[in-house]
Amino acid sequence: MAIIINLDVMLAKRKMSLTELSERVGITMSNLSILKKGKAKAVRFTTLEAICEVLECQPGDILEFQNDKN
Amino acid sequence: MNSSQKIKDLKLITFLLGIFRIGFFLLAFSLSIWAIIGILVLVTNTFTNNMSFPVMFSLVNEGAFHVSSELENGMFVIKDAMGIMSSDTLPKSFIALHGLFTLSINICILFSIRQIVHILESAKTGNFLVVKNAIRLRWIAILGLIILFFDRLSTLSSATYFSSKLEYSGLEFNAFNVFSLMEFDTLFIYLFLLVIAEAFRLGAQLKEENDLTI
Repeated sequence: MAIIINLDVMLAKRKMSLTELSERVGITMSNLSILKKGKAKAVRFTTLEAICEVLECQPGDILEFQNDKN
Repeated sequence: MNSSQKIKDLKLITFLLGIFRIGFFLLAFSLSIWAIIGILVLVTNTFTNNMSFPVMFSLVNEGAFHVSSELENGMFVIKDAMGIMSSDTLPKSFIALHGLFTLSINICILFSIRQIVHILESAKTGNFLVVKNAIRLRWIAILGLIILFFDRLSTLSSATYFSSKLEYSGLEFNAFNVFSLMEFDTLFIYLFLLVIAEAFRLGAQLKEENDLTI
């Protein structure tokens, strides 16, 4: 997959659990888990905004592009 | 959709599931019996009068058509009619060929019913709009077309075979007739089902994408 989700890295940096993030952002645990595992097909701007707000980070801290060809 | 409507839908699905399951087992059972009889016929060359084969015929003589009391009586002819014949003496090769067609048709029907049961089972669990069901629908359509093809081929082979061998006063046996052989309405139904299956697949893909949008 070309887009890598670094949500677990950011959670570790902020010493926050997935459950806490789920409660504060207002997204179900199953949806956050899909996002964390990189199984999501798309992320809404509102979701990204909420996560960035709670984790006090930039979208680039969570999303990373990796070229498969390289 | 309110809860009472959902319960009604579930009842309908359960009812249909029951019907198709019973249909599947009845057809499988009757097919097994038919296969046993078929093998017996091929081995012993008896019981052939239990088997029936389609034939096509026309009436040689014209009939009287009583239109109404005011008008003159008209005449009519019967052409390219279809009937079922059975005989106590039939060649084994023909029985085997016809049996092969019948077996293929029934296996396709069984497989189609199985696919319908799977679709209904997924509908019962609420997991209806999935790509798997679209593929199942496509299979049902393809099998329907195969069934139609084998059915027509079976009728054609039987009618052609018997046309030169049967003799009956006042009847003329025909090899085949294009109009009675082609079933365009059935053909279009299965082709339309193929289109529906493709639309279903696209819908299922869209739903999957939507479900995985966080």
